[in-house]
Amino acid sequence: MKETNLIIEGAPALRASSFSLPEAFRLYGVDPDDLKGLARVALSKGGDYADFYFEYSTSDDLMLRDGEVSSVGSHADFGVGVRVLSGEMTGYAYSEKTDIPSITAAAQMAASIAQQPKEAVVAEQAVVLESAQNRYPVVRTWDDYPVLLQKEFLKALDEEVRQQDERVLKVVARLAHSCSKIFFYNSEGVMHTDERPMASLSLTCIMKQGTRVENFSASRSFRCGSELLTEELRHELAREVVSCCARMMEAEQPTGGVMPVVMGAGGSGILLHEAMGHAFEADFNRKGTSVFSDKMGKRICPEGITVVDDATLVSNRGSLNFDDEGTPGQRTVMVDNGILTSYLHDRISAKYYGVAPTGNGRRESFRYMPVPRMRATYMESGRVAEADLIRDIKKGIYVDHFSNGQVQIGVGDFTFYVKSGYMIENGQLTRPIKDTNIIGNGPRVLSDILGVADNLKIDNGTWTCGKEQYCAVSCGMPSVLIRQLNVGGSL
Amino acid sequence: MKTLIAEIALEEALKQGMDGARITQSEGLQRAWSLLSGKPDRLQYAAGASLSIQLYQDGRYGSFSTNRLDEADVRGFVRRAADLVRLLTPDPAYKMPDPALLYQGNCPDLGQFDSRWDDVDEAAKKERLHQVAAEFDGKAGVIASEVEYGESVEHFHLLDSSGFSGGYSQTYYTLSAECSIQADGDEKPQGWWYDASLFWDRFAPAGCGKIAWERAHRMLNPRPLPSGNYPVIVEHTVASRLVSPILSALSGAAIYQQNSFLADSLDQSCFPEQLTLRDEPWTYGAMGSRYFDSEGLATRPRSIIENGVVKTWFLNTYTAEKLGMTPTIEGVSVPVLEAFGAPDVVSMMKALDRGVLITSFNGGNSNGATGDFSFGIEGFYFEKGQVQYPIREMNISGNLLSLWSRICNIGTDYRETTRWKIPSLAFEEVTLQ
Repeated sequence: MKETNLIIEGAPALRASSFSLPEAFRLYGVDPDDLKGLARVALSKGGDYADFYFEYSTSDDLMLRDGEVSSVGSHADFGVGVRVLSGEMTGYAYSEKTDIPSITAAAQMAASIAQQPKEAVVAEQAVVLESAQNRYPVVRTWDDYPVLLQKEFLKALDEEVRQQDERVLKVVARLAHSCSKIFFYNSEGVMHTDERPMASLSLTCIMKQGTRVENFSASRSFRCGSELLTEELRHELAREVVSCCARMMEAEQPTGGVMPVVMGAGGSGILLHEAMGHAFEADFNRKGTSVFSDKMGKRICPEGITVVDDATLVSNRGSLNFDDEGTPGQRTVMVDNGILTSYLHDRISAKYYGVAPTGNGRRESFRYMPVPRMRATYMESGRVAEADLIRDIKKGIYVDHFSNGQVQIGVGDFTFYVKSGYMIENGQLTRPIKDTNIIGNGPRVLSDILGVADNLKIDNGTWTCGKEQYCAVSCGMPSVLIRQLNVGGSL
Repeated sequence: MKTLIAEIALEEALKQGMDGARITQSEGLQRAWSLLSGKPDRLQYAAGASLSIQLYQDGRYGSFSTNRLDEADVRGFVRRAADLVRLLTPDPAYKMPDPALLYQGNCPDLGQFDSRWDDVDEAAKKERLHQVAAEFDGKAGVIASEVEYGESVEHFHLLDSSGFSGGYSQTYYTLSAECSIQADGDEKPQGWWYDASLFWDRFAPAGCGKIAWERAHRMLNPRPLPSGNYPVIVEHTVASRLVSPILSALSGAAIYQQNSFLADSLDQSCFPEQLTLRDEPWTYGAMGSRYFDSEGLATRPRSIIENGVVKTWFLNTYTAEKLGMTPTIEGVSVPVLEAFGAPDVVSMMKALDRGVLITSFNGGNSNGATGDFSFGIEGFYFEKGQVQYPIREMNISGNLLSLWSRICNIGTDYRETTRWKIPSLAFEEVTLQ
């Protein structure tokens, strides 16, 4: 098989991955001729296209509880997913062994989605993709920061939290890191490797004062190596959980009702994820089931609002050199100055709409077929100061920490759960609030954005999206004023 | 299922100087076919096997898993795992379970495996799929329908270094139907329904498409409802959402961390006298039935809450040791809520006369430390015992203990399609906004 290298235009060329093609062939026990043969099997019943997603993922975690690091975890997952497309139909099978007979059996299962045999079209020439820039360079490997040092880091974190407030009752900290070695090949001859690191640090603080107990959790997650563990990060996380937990001790559920809401910069990006991101995923639109179907090219937000889904932020949890079906990672402007300009496409929906894939074909692992998914979703900064958004509000709430969200795609109703925030009374942040669900309708809320501050912040917590399967994502937002949302609470 | 590879992992763990080890071997097969608006859309096939490995050494503990099951790979994986465990700081609470608490029987049939698994014709399965898809034909306003049939078989075996050995197999069939219909404007309400069974002969998905359409159609033309306190019925399809936070709060992990609104609750009357919640893990043919948990601790039927009094905390070996108590079981197997009052939604609406019927939760959460909750809801306003109109975009909020103190009906209409035997519930008064 001949190979041609296709370098994606863009930033200066860096090696996309330390996981090379020859290493991939060795790890998975296949060679280019094997792959062509397997593609022919996959297309033997009339499929138009086939791809093979090889993955070897390993993960390790350490847990600190009661002041000591006394438990550890380590996990390995290995296999290949075979997908066959026939028109818009998908056949999918996976094997946890990558010997040729096992992959052949999976290819035969996936092939059976097609029912009209025709000659298999498999590219003779390979097109080897390399990313122009590695979006997740590892500065220091985990081998260079061994378990004993990791333990010391967690113990220092525990001590720092306890020193900051005598009400701290318990501290739980978890350090997790993983690496996925991906090799992708499709019947068009496209192949690439990718080596995706992920490192996450989570911290929970439980405080008690009298009979009152509250907890607060915070986390940071990046596609990086052990350089994650810095003193700055330790101070930042410790300060955050202690100050927020202390705030929770003073907070109450708010008086609920429909009121103006200022979404604080950062984690408020959950609003974008739920209120518009899912509704822009093109599989829903292709089926006509999204409330935003038929809105392409139309105004959905006030002027000045631009919303992006981005795979190119260096070391971001949602970033990708390639998506999980061989499309280069890229920045996709979904809303440009208030106009809906792009859905988030995988290969199937892109073909349906006659556009190029946007690199949003993602999957949890080789066990799942790719579907359109978000990456890092954020709104560009506006022009006003955050204080200007708050100043004229007589009664409303300011929210800045969240735990989860959800959306009803068809009608656009979305919710997010506010872990903590503040009441806004006469233009001032006043009493702390907590534990309230906020509900709104996506199309209405987008047109109800009254102001966007100049303080875009990407939230680097361990955001995970659960659409059919789990995928690491991130989100970001400048502070935003929304005319009204329904806030849960007392009467 | 042959357990040779599990035995090899166990042998290697002990060879590496571990005090104790537990190996869980699982193998499974899943198949699924789906139709989009009546036409083939997806076919999925999955077969896999894995080992889950827990290692103990002098108060140190590690939990590991791998699906690379060649002997050399497994031995190497266990060696590395043991090396990691040795680096930990001891915590005496990490230890193997007391052998006296492990399941001692020989796993008599619990009705989890369908002997017809290999016999049922693929054509018969696809026929059911197409029959349900056809139920959407001619239904008003349907934009798209999705129907999926899925089936799986899982074999599972647990071995440990104390000599425990036990396992079981389970089959599962399910069919789900979903549709979107066009409302006025851009909105497209969705409805869904599903059936599931461990046995093909009890699997009865016919009608799922019709019900899914009805559930979508009845959500047309919602109206706003003023904020206020209303009697509330929570339909059996979603009622477990209000029970699961109680079970989480009764978990040993939450209690020993004092991160539970039910800390100090054992033998205390925390709920109204009418409330009795049991675990029935030996129910023949029920999803979730089992003789032992993931540590091998023996299950038994037990009261979790009896006449309002908390009778069980879910304690595994670790959390029990932390609390200085005897382990019970890691978690509930088949939760069953004892009925009182009106048996189903229709009779509850008649009994309450006026209020809100919740048929779906839209997001929300609860605070495990305090019991404060806030959930988005969808459903219907009812008056004179009859549904009047659908409602959306509302929240219910409050505290779980306070909410459950106002329980006034627990039905008998739970579905057999999940392990949660939680029927429709009615509460005297709930704050809606």
